[in-house]
Amino acid sequence: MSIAEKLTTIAENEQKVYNAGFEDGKTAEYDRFWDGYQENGDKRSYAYAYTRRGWTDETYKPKYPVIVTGNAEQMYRESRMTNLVGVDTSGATSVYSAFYNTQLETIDKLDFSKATNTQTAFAHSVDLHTIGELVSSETTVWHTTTFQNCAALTNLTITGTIATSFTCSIASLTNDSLMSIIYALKDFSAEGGTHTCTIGTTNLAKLTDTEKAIATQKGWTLI
Amino acid sequence: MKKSTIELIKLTASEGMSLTNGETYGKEVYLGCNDSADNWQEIPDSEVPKLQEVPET
Repeated sequence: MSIAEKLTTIAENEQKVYNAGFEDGKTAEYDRFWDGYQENGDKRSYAYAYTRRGWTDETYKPKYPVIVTGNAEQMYRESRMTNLVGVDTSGATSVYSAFYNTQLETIDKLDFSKATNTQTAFAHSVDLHTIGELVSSETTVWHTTTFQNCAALTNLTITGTIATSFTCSIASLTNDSLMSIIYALKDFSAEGGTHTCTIGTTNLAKLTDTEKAIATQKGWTLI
Repeated sequence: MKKSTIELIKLTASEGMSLTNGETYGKEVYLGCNDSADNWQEIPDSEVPKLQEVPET
């Protein structure tokens, strides 16, 4: 090997070593931040955890599964991610303003089965068009403000049981979304009492009389 | 074959008015099987309360 060839090889190796060190450094810094922020995977209290504009698709890369227990108030409020996947909210008791005024467009699944405060949970997230699955239970408390001004919401699949008055009058909801709500309404026909499901006149017009009757026969007044 | 008739009772607010049961407001109401038209009344649209905003963080 000539001296010139040796110098070329040395230069190439130097760049490889630099690149490897740079990548190792990035990984170490990522681990250092997320190990601390998520308490080595033990973090469960996420109130305000990802609030404000610093959280984007580039910066929100949790190392550990996001599993929430208890208070998840304002968890993602005003964050700037566009898609949210794999967040376990099945232990969250309050999701007050948790997704308020975000830039989220899609959320794959959320479980509100233990949530007794859902006030303004998604309010003013005007780009949110899809919630793939939203789990409700007989103890989930829904509020008139839960979906306030979610103007783009089109696909919303509710599973489980809705047992408190429910309001989601976003005009862009599909018939399938509306029917998922109607099928989830608890049957109060034998228990009595009045319960209201507010979906608005535009959505009422999308339903046949037979579809509306599924709700009314279960003791729900449709508005 | 079982043949049944399902009854829907629909209330519609007059022009410029809304329907309320004291908690919920709307222009059209399809009564649930345990509900009654007596539980609903018309009020002017101007008396329908606005939803409350949440405070800043």
